[in-house]
Amino acid sequence: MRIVKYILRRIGFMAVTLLGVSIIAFALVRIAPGNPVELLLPEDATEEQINAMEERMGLNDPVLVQYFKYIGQVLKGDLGYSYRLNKSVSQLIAERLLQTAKLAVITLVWSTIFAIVLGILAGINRGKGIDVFSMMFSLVGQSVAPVWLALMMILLFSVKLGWLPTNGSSGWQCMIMPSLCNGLAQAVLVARLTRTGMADVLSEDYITATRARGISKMKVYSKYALKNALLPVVTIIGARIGHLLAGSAVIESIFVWPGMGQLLTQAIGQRDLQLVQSLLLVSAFMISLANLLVDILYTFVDPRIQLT
Amino acid sequence: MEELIKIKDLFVEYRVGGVVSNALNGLNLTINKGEALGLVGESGAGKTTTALSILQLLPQDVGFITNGDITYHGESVLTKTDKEMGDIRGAKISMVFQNPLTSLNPVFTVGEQIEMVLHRHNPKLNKNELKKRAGDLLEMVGIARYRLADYPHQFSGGMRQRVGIAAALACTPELLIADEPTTALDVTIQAQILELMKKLQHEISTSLVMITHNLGIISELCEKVAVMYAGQVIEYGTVKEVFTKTAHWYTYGLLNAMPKLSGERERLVSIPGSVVNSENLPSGCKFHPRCAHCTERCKTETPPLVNMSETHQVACWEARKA
Repeated sequence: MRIVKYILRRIGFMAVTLLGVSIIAFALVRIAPGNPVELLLPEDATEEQINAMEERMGLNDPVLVQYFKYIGQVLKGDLGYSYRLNKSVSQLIAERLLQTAKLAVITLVWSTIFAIVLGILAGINRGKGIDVFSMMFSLVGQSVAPVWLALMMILLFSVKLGWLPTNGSSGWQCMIMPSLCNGLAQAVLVARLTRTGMADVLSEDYITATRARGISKMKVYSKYALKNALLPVVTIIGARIGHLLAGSAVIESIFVWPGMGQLLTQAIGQRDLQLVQSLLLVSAFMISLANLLVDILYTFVDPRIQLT
Repeated sequence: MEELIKIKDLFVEYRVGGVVSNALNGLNLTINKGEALGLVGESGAGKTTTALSILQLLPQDVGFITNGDITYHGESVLTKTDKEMGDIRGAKISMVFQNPLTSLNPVFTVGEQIEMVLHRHNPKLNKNELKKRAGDLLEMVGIARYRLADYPHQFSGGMRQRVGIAAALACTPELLIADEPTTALDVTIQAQILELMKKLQHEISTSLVMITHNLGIISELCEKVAVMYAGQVIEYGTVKEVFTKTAHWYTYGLLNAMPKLSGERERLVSIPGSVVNSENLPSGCKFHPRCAHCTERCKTETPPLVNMSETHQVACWEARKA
């Protein structure tokens, strides 16, 4: 019963968040310079044609009316229409979300496994070679800007070595570089968290007590200490899922990956009003939903947490 | 009497960041089968280090045995592999920890934590049998069986210590080491826990090492007592002899520092000075800087343990005559 109440309240908060995002997104695309209609129509369009188009797109209405029309539409499940691409926004997002999700799943899987294994190895060998290496690696990994990394990788693996395609979405080879760029920063962060968690937990009394019951080191590392060490990691990974599903505008644009991020970059460039608004709204929705799911999941992982 | 554990001339060091602490400095101690031994001394005397050394659980890369030997049934534990020690820990020798609030894993149910030790040493038991045995153990320490599914944070301190005791006794060990099991508990709960330990020790006839700085607990529970100072045993014998014919001035000081319930009210006597700094030990008798009966010899030569009687030994050049 308590959990139902909690979820209902959180959904209430989510609604408020999304409302805020919708206002900001709506305002931003209108503040941005450039007339969407002029960008949409051919250069030699006449004044009348422009006016007719503005009328058709509802841009002549007062701003508030435009906003409420848009919100009313969204509440009915219609995310709007892209005049530029001549498709409904829902349809566009559905296509792109699939591509972004593909990348997100791959990224999540490799970065999580890599980070946790590295973190455990570093945590149980604190101060030794593997620990020093992993901490240096994560320092570099967190400091490098994904944009720079993406360009350097293209230079090395595509231009110099010719191993990987520079862009495209056909075949698994195309996913390697975007996935590495998207996941590296998160992977090294999770590795650090796991390492610290592991090292802290191993010095706890209850680990000595577990060992005093005859449990082997391997069993302690893989089960009795790991569960404690991974608690903070769950939060970080969960929070990242939302971001990954929202897509990375920069990385997807560099590698021409036909996902949400690339669509957003295009939409902004073309002042595709409703598409930008709805993309931002959907991204915000996925991030809040992921956060909510993590918080609920957390109560199952850590029995001390109670939802109130 | 059969010897269970024999500790011979044991030296243990803790090395942290270039600093070396000499936790044990030539400890000699014998634990006999079926016997209850009290281990007393101030904080930092090396009591817990002794316990962890027996189990070979000194903190990794920090605690090192530099000299001496510990034998269990005549076999050295220092040469055993971790797997072989694992078969002993929890099954033959088990331990109850000082702080029940930190010695249970917060993210596993108490049932899982009791079943873990049962399963480790009886791998053939199936899930239901494990659960039944764990439930029996909980009832043995006075907790209702249905609470197996609860997590440690749902228990009070005293109850958590009962869980710790249940887990320690799960495989009916030959030796139970209780490291100040009541220090973190309030007085009424202390009495309950001690009562429980006394009862269970007799029921499953295990040997007991009771680590404490509470001399009352020693006289209540133990037959023998070893007094530790600066990582050495400085007086050892039957509780009766050590408490009535006290020979070492440190033990004498400890006993005098106890408030008396009868007679006129007096100012409490304390031992002057403070516990030795284990990073910089004094030469000779480690207690000499605090001792009122110190001689030149005490400052340079370390006194060996000598017999006062068959069952009473002391390490002091100027032993007190009772």
